[in-house]
Amino acid sequence: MSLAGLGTAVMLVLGGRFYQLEVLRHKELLHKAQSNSVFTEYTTAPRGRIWDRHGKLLVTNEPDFQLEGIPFEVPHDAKHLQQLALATGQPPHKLKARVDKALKAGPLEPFVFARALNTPQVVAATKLLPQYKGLKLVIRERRRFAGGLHATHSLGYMGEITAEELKELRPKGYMGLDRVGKEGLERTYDGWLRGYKGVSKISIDALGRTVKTNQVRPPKPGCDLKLALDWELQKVAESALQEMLDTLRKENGELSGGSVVVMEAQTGAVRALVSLPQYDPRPFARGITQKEYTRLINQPNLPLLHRAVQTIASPGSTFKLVTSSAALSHGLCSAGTVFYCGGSYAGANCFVTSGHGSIGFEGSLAHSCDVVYYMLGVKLGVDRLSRHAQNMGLGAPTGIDLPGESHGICPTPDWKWKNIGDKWYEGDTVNFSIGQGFLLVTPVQMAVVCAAVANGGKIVQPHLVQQVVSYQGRIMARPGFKPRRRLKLAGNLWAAVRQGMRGAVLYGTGGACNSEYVHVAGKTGTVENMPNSENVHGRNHTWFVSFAPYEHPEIVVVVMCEKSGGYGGSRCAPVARKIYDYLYGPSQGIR
Amino acid sequence: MSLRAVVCSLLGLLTVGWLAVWSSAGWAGEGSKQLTHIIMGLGLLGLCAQSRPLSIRWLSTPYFFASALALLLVLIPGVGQTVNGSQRWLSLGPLGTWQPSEFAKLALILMLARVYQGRKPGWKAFFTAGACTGLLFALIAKQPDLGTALVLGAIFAGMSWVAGAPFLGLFTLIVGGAALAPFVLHDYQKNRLLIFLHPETDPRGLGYHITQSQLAIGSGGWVGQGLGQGALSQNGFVPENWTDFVFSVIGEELGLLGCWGLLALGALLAVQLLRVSWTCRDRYEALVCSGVCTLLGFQGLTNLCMTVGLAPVVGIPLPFCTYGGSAMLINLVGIGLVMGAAQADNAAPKLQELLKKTEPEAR
Repeated sequence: MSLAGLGTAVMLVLGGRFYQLEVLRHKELLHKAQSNSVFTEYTTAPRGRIWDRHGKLLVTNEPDFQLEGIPFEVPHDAKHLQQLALATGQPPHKLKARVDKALKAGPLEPFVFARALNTPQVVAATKLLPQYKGLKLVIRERRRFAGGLHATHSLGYMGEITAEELKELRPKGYMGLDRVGKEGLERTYDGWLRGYKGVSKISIDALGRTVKTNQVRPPKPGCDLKLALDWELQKVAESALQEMLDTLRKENGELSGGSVVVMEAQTGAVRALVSLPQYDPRPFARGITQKEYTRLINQPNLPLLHRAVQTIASPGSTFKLVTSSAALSHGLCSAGTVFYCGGSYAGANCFVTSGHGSIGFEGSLAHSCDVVYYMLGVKLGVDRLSRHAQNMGLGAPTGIDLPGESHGICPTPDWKWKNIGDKWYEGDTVNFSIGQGFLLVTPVQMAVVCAAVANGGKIVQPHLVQQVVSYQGRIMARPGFKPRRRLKLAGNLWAAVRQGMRGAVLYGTGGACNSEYVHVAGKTGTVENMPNSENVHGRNHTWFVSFAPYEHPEIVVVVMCEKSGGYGGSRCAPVARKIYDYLYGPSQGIR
Repeated sequence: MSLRAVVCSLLGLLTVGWLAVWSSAGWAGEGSKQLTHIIMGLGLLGLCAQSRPLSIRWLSTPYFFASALALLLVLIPGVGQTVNGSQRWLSLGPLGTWQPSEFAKLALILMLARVYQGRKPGWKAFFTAGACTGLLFALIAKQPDLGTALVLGAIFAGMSWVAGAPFLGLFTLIVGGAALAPFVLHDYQKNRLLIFLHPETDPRGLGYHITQSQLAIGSGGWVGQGLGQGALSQNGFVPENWTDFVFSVIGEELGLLGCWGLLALGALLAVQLLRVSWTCRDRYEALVCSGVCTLLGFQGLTNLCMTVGLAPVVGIPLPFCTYGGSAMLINLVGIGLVMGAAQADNAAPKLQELLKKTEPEAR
């Protein structure tokens, strides 16, 4: 029957078409259907806050009101833009220039018309909104430095994620337009601070109206950082160093920088970390302009450099802590050995050119006699000295929880051959043994060395963050809680070095740090520089590494001044003394 | 005809169709009204099934002219109601708003059956039938309602073929109509007809309905998203999907099984109706049955084809599913007429029964 055949054929065609659409093309069509009806929205979680060791709030979040929109959709004629500029407190011609540029570059890309609006501006902008189709008032979060602008290098700042960062971090849930930590703790602990994004599936209807919001996962707030930093001590250290730098500026007529590390000798918890000069991180928090940034990086005293962990310089005589302990550990001398200083050794002069005459081990440290250490260094040989220096933490990052830490250089003959292209001479060993020459260290490395002397051979890991605390109050991590390693050396060896350091403060080069409140032990360092392009007058770098109390060391203080001229005992020791006076003086370090 | 099969398939179609309307338009919207239409229609179906269509043959001519008059009334500005640019509806105050063009479909079936009821319709009958069809066709095309006009054409063609009208005339008419179409149709109508070939060229405009309807059906999968769960059907992505595109709701929410089930129910119903039209002893009644078959079959197949993108989009509803009072009443009355025609005294007796009757004492 032809009618039946026709009917069957039509039925088969229709049934087959249903099968094609609903089974064969199901996935494709379902995906298309969902992509135009369901949107996934990600909400950024509140970022974790940063507290100091006494529970003072240092960094928190504050709302940031922004006007955003698609420049092509928002009315952008001169009259409208002028009105908008007046309401948001911008110069009209600047806003117009920015919008024109955005219209050329990407007229359909989201664009920020105004950011960081204050309350009256928000009110004015809200009144204008109905006239501007497509312009939205968006509330974002930005960082607020609740404790004031101190330790800005260490706290760091945030910025928009770059394409390279995104490529690397996308698997961890980062997205375009995210703000991530760019410097300091914000960067190191970004993964902890940011929390987890909330995910909502938003169903919209054909007109784009929201029909249903289905929160798949609520945002999980980021973890708080509890720092070892003592905010008041940080302020004291900053002002002490700043005073010194101001004096130096007056004397030298030249800008110089400096840094202070205050660290617990036994644990490596960093109580204060100063790098001067500082910069204002607030432009970074709101999005720095190219002009401001250029001005910052072109300043001659490099304010963006975190000097405590990123500057490398010769340690000068403070390296004698390493040379002396190396000599003691290899049995080349003992605490009772008496040396003779004639003022020069193998062509190299002593720091006191007339010579110290007969001098004991303790005196050699206290008076910082170079000749003794020339002799000890040559006896040790470069290999043993270099190995000991590396064991004490030089030439490698200390592992402090800050980004961009410098390795420093702990030279060996191999290193010199590879990098300088020359073989190792005995003169190099002579220089090396008093911390000059190729050896380069960071202040925080010296703090670790000094802490090792103070605590009897424990190489601590400096850390700013004591606890990472989840928003529910659980301790998620304790970075640097364990020391990195222990040097297997006799205890009385360290005691001999400590005795020398105590001598330096009592009757030697570090007398300026002889605090009346606590028994300080320290070692000065003065690095002689040749004039070069960065250091036109060839001024000395000065160091002071110290710990206190002498009997049971608690605190290590390292002070370093760049291009200060003078001596460690006169430039850096007074700064350290102010810190000890604050900690052990009448205030007892209590806020 | 198996009464049970007709009732089952009919109730099945009505249920699926009503669920789809209810799911997309809601109870407060068109869902409750559609239920009223179904109940009214089933009542009329019962009435019609009581008596043979022959007994109401006298009504054919007056009903036909009444329909034509109603179609004329619709065209008078102020009387007819305009929705979406077409003047199709006639308001009867508290009795609701009706669509005369739907009633005209049944009127044409009855009228053509009357015209063709002679033993061997000649050219005269053919031209009379053509004139009747042409009158209604013109009035409806004027509204404009291309879909319904096409349905009238299909009824004319189908019934003429069944009645054995001159093949040459039928052929000339169809070919001529197809050849004239490009000159008669408005440009927007032509675009609408041809866009189904490439819906992606105009996804926001004419192709929108087709694209969205296919997306909705395609996202159903084997068993569908569940009633009331279809993301596209529920959120207005297929606009007014309780009307012509109601099948996209069935596709998305009931899935492939629902679609195949609907198709099977329709096929079952069609086969039953065709059987009646074959077995009717009376020529008038046989023609009415074939007319109803053409009406339902043509509308159903065209609608399904256009929702899945196999045919151009013309406003043709899916019988028993699409929301609409007039269409629901007419379709159910049509089924009622067929059931009336299928009464025992009309069906041609089967050979076995004839043998039994002639040889009662054979055993």
